[in-house]
Amino acid sequence: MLDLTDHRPLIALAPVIGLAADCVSHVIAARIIRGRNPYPALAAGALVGLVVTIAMTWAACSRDATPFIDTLALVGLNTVASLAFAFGYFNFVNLTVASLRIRILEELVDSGGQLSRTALLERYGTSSVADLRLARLVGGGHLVERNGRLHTGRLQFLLVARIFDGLRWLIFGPAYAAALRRPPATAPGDHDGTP
Amino acid sequence: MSTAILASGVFAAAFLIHLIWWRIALPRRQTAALLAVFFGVLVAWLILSHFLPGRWWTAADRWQAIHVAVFHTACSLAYIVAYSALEHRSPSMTLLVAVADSGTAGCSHEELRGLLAGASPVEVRLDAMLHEGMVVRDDDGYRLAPKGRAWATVLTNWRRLLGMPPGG
Repeated sequence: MLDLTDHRPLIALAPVIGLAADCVSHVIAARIIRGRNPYPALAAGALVGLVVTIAMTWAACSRDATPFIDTLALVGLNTVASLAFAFGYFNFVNLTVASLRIRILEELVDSGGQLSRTALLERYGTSSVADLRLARLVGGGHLVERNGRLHTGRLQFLLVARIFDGLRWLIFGPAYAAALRRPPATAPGDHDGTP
Repeated sequence: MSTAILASGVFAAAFLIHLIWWRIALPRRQTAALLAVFFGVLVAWLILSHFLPGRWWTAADRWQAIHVAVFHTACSLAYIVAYSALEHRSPSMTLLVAVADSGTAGCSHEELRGLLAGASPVEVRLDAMLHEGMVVRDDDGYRLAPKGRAWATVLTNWRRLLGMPPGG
């Protein structure tokens, strides 16, 4: 039996409850904010999840008369856990939006479960994939076009790319990280282990 | 405070084992190996906490152990998701970095298209989907396998629940 005067279960499970709040509020927000861009609803869901987690942790610590420094540490711990859950959920949703594999699976479903290799390659040629990515990057302001040439625009994604290069260097070592800088044959959201 | 230190310590231990392993030799199935390392360390720590409770490096009670497990699971899953982007640089990131590296000259559309030429993302995905049993190949082309149909159903329904258009 749970001891109702003991609030440690609430503190321990606050990030999980926050994740549930994230999912529910994201679905509600996505149905209210309709449109092609899925990210405002995702951000709203993540914010609700984070607020629920922090509020629940803070309230439970207050009820248990936890010392202030311990309260800060527990709130910090649960904030990191909540952000990590939100990041995982974001990637799951992004998979349904941006994954070429999911799109191919859907094409197969729509075609009665079967398609020829030629038909699939014609629908998703390399140039169309490159053009789609370029259009998205220009549309998002990450690349800007001047006199027919593309230049760096907003720096957020570029910063992420540089951070990932640093992490590759740390995890794989300099030689393997350099090999990974070659042009890839994969797209965002697609990797072994996910569809 | 001790919960935060314990949780950070368990995650750091798993990350260190992963780092040492990867520097010695890359595992063939990297995602599976990551799951084994991160959740193996957590399970080992939970077992030790059960038999040796209250040490400075083990949980004092059940709820502290659960709290550490929740934190570790959240951070491990987030890292494993992010790791897939470390394994391969995405086409979008390749384009962004190429433009940044070109300095003030910038890049033309043709130069950027040329960067991705020879890399056929669709063929790579089809091969991976064959390998994973999502599709099967026969004389007429590709056919959906039950696993692929299940993934397509789950993700398509989730997207429809959100009211979003098809992606890809």
